[in-house]
Amino acid sequence: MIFNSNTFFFFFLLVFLLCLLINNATIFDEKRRVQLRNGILLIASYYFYAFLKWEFVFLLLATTAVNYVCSLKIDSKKKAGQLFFAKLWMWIAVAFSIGLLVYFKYVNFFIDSIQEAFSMLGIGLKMNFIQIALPVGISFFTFQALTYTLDVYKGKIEVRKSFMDVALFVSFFPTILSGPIERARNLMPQLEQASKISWKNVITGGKLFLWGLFKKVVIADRLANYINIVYMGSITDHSSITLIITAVLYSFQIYADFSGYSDMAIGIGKILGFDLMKNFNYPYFSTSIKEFWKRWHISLTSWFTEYVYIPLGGNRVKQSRWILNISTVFLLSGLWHGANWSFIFWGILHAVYYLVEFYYKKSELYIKNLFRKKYVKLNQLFSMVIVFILVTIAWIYFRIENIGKASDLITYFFSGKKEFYWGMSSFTTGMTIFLLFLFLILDWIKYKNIKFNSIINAAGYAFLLALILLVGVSDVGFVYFQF
Amino acid sequence: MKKQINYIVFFIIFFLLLNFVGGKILLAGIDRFYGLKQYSELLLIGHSHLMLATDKKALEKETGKKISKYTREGVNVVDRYYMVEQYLNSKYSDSLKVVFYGVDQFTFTSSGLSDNSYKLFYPFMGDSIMDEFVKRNEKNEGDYYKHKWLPLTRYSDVLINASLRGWRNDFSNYKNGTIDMDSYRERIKNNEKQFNRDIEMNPDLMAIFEETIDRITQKNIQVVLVNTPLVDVLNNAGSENYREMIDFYKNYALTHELVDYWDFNPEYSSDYSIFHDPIHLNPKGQKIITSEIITRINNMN
Repeated sequence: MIFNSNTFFFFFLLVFLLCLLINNATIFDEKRRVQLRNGILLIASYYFYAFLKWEFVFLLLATTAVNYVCSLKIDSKKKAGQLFFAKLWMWIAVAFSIGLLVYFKYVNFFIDSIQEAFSMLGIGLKMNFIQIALPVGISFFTFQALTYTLDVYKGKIEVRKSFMDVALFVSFFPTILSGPIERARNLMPQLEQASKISWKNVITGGKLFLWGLFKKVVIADRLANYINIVYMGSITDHSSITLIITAVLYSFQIYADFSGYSDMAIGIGKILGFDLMKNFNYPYFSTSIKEFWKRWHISLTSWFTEYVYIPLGGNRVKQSRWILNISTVFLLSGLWHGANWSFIFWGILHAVYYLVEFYYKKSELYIKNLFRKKYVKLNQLFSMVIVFILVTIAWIYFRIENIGKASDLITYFFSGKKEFYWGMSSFTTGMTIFLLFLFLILDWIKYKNIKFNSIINAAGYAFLLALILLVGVSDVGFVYFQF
Repeated sequence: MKKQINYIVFFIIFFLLLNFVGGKILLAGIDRFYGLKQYSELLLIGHSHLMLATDKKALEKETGKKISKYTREGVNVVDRYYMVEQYLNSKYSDSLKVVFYGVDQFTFTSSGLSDNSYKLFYPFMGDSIMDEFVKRNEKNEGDYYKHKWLPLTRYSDVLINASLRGWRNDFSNYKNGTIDMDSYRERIKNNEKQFNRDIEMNPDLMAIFEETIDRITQKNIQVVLVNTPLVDVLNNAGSENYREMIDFYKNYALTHELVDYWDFNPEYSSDYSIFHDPIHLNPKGQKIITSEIITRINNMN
């Protein structure tokens, strides 16, 4: 079930009404109401996940059970002062969760890479690939489950005795397929309190959902229709201007797609009375790569920072070690996105950007303001454009999923051919580009936090809904589901 | 709480207004584009072949007659039956004298037909005949009511474009460029399906065709079956069946008093400079065929 489907609309309406009913059922005390609501949310979450492929529910259940048991063990061992065993249980949870992820997502990639390496050495090694489908959202719920165990181990949260609470945290339907990857210490306390369902939350959440839906069906999916056609054929069929514009459009497609999903997830959570963590903060307005990573996929970046980078020593280590730490985090981030060398290359490319930027800013070559100091905005705009270009180049490797082909594509930017390819219909492509400009203006208004009175605001959101119905492309899956 | 309820009320009012007004504006543009709300003497019914082969403005100017050009991409024989019904059942059909019905060798080919072409008629759900047609074909009842109640959901990009063109009185052919015959011959040789459709005489489709023609002629309206040019390589690819099909149209015209058959293939199908692709004419082709049609219409008088 995907958020932009009719089925989800009715599913969510039912879940919301049941939660509302329980919320107002004064015949029960608060504790009972919370239990009942969580029971409904748990059933709804498992149904939501099973709707895609019911067999994978067992995987979700196993991940939950292992993390639940390990956390209980960690807590008891810590209380008994047996820190070694506490650590051992923590590693069991990590090994199991990451092991499942590796098995379902990376085994074939490793087999392929090993075979490739041996064949380069002239040794013919024949290994069988495993025939298995990738469970949707596995990278997300695995990481979410681990935050609970790791937070219990670090003493950031109390261990939960209720299996239902842990199961709901791991499977919470707004976040299970594509995040945000919630922290146990943020979501779990909310799940243990009575719902904050209110008109205000319904409106705030509804607006966020609508904005996310607009990004998804009006911007991302329309852009995808054009981009897929261009990348489907041979790159030599297209002019440099077509390839450059397509690369730029993909930067917006992936942003609108993924941040659109996040907005919808956060909006759904809000309507139900939960505050989920922010996942995107206008990343393309970043003036440095460092800032970009503070604004893009925040829940994943902060996950790697908290659970990988800091345990590795963060920046309180020798410089060579720090470079290794940074590189490791970006490499893992690339690998997390997919079992393919191009994703790894994408991660490494960002590590290079990050490190070059860091050392450049420390060097004597560093020019803080290209234009006169008083033209602050112009200097900022220049930095934003540079960051956007670098990020766009990296996205090409992400989208093409083949390092050689992506590199060829970049060289074709300079082929000199000029005629722009308008896709299947120049009207459709033209309208998509017009809508993209509209989106960028709206996004800028939001970024600048420009407020309008409630009547204009209501009219604006009504207009968004009208556009969704008129020019939206429906029932297309989300890019980030594959991760 | 009052503030929030006011917000929701404003939102709903604005949305309903946009939905209603937006739907009406788009529909008015569509009606203008196809000429469905005008008293016409001539009605063109067909798919993209006839659409790109005829210039409505030039036809109206040179013949001095009002023309409704109701041609839509991908419409099959069944769709055309309803298109004819839609116009004939409107008050505007009183002035109608001739229906130009686009035909080709693939008119009765059942394979490759879209089973969701009824979606093309969503904008006309306000018309009882088209509403019934959509309702009967819609696979999901929820989808039917969504389109019924939310007029904005009835429009695809193609329809929005048609509506805008209707408001701008823009009936131009934008299929510029000329067919690459070498590449096309290669594809025909490789028997690529999309370039080499089967010619078939499906009895069900033929029955609907005859029903459509009868429905028009019963009203004493003349019918001209118009076969606009397709490249000769495509025509020759299924030569036996092609000839059989052309004979059918010729005989049909001979045996039906109010039916005529105009075939522009013998004269133009080997002039590749007029084709955008194997089945669609470019602006040059449109100009030539329109001019031919104008001459013949004027001769009809």
